[in-house]
Amino acid sequence: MNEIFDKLLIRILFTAFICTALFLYKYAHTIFYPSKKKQVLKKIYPSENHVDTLHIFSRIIGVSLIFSTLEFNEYIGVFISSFHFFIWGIIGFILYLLAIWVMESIVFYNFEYKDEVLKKKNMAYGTVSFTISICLAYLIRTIFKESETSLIILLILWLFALVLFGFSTKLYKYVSCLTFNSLMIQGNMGLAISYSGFILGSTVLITSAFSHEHHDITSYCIQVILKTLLGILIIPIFKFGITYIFKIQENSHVDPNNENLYLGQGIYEGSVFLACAFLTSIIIGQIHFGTIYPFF
Amino acid sequence: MNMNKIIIYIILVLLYLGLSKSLSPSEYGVNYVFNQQTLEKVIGPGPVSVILIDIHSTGFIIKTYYHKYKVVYAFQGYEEIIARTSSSYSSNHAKNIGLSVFRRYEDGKTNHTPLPPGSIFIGDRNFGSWYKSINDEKLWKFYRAYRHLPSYLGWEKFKPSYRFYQEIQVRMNKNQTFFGFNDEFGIEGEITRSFFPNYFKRQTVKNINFKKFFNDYLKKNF
Repeated sequence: MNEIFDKLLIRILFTAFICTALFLYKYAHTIFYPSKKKQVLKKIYPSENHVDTLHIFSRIIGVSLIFSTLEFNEYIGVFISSFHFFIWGIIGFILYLLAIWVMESIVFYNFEYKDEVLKKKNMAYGTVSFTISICLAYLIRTIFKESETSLIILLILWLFALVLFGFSTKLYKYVSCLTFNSLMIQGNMGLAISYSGFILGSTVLITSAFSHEHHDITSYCIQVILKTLLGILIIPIFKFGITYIFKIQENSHVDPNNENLYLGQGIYEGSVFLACAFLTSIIIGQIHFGTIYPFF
Repeated sequence: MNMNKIIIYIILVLLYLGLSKSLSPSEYGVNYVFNQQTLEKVIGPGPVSVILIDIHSTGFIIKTYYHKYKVVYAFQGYEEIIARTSSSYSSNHAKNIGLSVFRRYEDGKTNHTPLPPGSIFIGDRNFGSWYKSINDEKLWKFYRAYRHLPSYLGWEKFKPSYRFYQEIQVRMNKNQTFFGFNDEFGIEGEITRSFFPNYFKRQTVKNINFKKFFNDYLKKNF
């Protein structure tokens, strides 16, 4: 019985420790985002500004996602395992916040947080920002797993993943008939759903390209590039297949005054891209050809 | 716009194929043998007998062919090498498993006629001599220094006779394949089948019992 109580106590201690790490995250957020200092440090009233609530909680979900990859190995000692969690937790949320800062600078280069969230309560902005946070958290979670506690490999993969993700965000105009900047200013939810589906799909592709065993970093990165390129080649085939099988008739021109048409188009684009990305991840990551060398 | 998309797609396909070809790990370390001359280049120096011991193909629709050679050197033991081959080269040698498909003499002369393994060494006084058996038949015996060669060549209890040696010379001059007087070597040969069995094991047709397969599948997975 003593042993059971001891284990329970250790679990509760570790829970408190994770909460401390979240507390540290709160202050790390203000270092990277000084303009949002008030937003994080003041009390949060979720019902006051739903877009702001979405914005803040996307980060908390993201950090929690990254923390969920970390492990406590109590058998190596409570202090050492806590120290390990503490160091990798800090590295995790620094990389996460930097990644969000870089990506939001790329995607929202025409938009200001204060204007869109605090003044205009632009839900489209909030939705896209939420998706970016979740996608980046998934990416960092994947590279945390792949780096196998090597800091150098983690940094290389982080940069590599960021380049791929940043590049993919710029390809939106080739897969959608919706214009990002003009519709984002209007707070169009169709665009938000379409763009969210697109970057979620891109994240699925990139994470599946990263998920394979590696022996040396160069050949691993080459394989990631090849798999990503293969994904770009396979996804149009699935899109064609889905539109053909389900007899989907796209509108060649969307009436700018009809919000519902945009919404329908956005849902269609986002969902089809996401479905195609999941199906493509089977093709690029889950077909195993066995050994690369002909042993016989 | 559609035409532009098609052009971009084709460029991406070509880019993918080009990158895969130049960066894929499967392209490294495997020699490509598409004719007799390219086979010569992958074999080390000195007197040598190169025996084709296995043929393998991979791929579902577009096949890639591989040959496995046992390279028996006169002075350095032996090594096994795997080489990727062309479809035509592979089909040309389909019946030559267990035969020596390339040999190089001490003076550098080469020959590609498919002959029983170790034909290069038979009759060469540097490696052995003829002796008379109890049946008054002249048989070849390697010197003590080269006593390991018959086991490397997969001869088992086979002892080449003088008539066998003469037939090898005739076939070599005419560039005709020789499987032995009783077809001991080659794809149908008893000696080949017992000494290089890997290829023949894979060729055995397995009768698939669907009921047994389904039962085993259920037991293993559920």
